[in-house]
Amino acid sequence: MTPASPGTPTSQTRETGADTGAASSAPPSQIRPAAIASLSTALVFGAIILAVVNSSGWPAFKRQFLSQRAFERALPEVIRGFGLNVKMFLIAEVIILVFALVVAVVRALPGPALLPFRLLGTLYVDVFRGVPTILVIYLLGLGVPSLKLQGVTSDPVFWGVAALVLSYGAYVAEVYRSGIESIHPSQRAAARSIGLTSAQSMRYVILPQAIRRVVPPLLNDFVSLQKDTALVSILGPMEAMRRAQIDAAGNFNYTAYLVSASCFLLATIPLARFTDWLMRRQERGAGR
Amino acid sequence: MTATTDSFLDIRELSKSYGDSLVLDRINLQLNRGAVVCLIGSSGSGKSTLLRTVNRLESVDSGMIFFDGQEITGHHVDENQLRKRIAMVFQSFNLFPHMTVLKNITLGPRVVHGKPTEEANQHALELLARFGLEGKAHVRPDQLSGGQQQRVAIVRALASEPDLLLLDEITSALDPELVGEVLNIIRELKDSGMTILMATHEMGFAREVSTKICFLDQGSILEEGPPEQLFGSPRQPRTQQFLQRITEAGRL
Ligand SMILES: Nc1ncnc2c1ncn2[C@@H]1O[C@H](COP(=O)(O)OP(=O)(O)OP(=O)(O)O)[C@@H](O)[C@H]1O
Ligand SMILES: [Mg+2]
Repeated sequence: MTPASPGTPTSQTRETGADTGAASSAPPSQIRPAAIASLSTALVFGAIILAVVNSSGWPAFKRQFLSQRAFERALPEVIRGFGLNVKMFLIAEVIILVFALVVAVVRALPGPALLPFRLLGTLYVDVFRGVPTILVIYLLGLGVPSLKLQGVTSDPVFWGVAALVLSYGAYVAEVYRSGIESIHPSQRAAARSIGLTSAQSMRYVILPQAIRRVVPPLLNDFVSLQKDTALVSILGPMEAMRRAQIDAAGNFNYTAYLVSASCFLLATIPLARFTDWLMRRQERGAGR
Repeated sequence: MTATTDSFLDIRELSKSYGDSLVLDRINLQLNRGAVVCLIGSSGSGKSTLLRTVNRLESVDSGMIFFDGQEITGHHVDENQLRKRIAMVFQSFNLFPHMTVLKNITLGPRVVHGKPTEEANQHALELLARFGLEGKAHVRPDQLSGGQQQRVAIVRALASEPDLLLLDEITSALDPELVGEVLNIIRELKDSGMTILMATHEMGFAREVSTKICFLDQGSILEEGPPEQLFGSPRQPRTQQFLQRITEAGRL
């Protein structure tokens, strides 16, 4: 968006001017801010690039991190590994959406009979929001298989996903809960007054409204989950990060890490932009 | 005190506190079938709380409520069945914003009473037509005026074919020019024989439609009687004061 120019009367005309983006056909008063913006951007970025390229360590850095040969060698491997990240992300995401919803609903339902479940829910959320995700992955991925329980898998991908579900489930449950609590109590009273039970009120009246409200923050958590699948590499499965590690260690060259980082960026940036867009749209809609 | 009663709704010695503050103080109130009883009184006098205890949105501390001969404050009472017969409309409409008008109205009949969707829709459309809302079935509440929203809320309350209607200041959130269309509905309901217990600040309307007026003050019914008597020659000084203030505010 172009900065406010003194000549434009309302914010609305300013927005339409920026949205159509027709700088050439814009009135003269709008050309100048646009020009200033491009110039200052070019200057700042140019200065940063110059400083980096002229630093004394640049040639060494270029060899270590930006080697074309290493890039070509690592790319197919890392991409193949990233497939596993995507798979872990998708599986974890679906389970988290359902599991966290159950936790949030249990915590929100009234009634003395549900007290133990409410306590359990609270305990779970407190514990798993407090423990770093990487520790949960270690504890589950190394701890459980070392117990050598009969019939229990020691597959690192399984335990990695389980750890991500437990860790992120706690956050997502809180997001759901804030959504549930943001619905005015009068909605519940109205639902109860037409004869719905607490559970039915939740199902037909509260949750549909609450979930709509929390979609942007949920997506935000999933942006973060997407990249945190890399943490599972500490258990050894061949995902993008692990493959990059192997390539880097075998060739004394870190270019593979940049390849891996690019994979994550390419996946998270669209989701992050989409989330921002949704949030802005909801904020605009909230006034209605 | 006997368990049997001739009144359709019979509230006896009902008390309720929030923490230390006594909100309802030994309320006694009887309604016959087809009666229209108005609760008046200043803000905080307990009108809403009294209404909410009748369909069990609030619990009570002591006292009893009999509805159609049955005690309804105990634990054994199936409140969802009860709410089929006692419906409530709120000051702030409380329509469900994520549903169309039609879905708002049919939710109760479909989910609670297991009515087939076809039948529930049919009934809802008839009610909408009866209250001048034809054509509004498929819009969302936020596309309606306040008066239309409140009429939809009344239709939603009527969809379960209740025997008693609780109305909590249903015109207070409306622009003055929209009040009339809602009050007309209440008149029509009264003429069709509906039993109504309502809290209101519309004194002219209360005077016109009520069979009985109750003046609530600090949680107790200080004075009650037919409208001519209560508005014409109130006995209690506090009732006189209240009506005086209302008259000065130009609402009588
Ligand atoms: N949930 C609650 N917790 C604590 N106190 C409450 C609660 N609801 C109502 N009260 C108190 O109970 C008293 C009666 O409130 P109530 O809403 O029944 O009054 P009212 O006559 O309906 O007033 P108004 O005309 O403003 O609607 C007030 O003093 C109010 O502050
Ligand atoms: Mg009230």
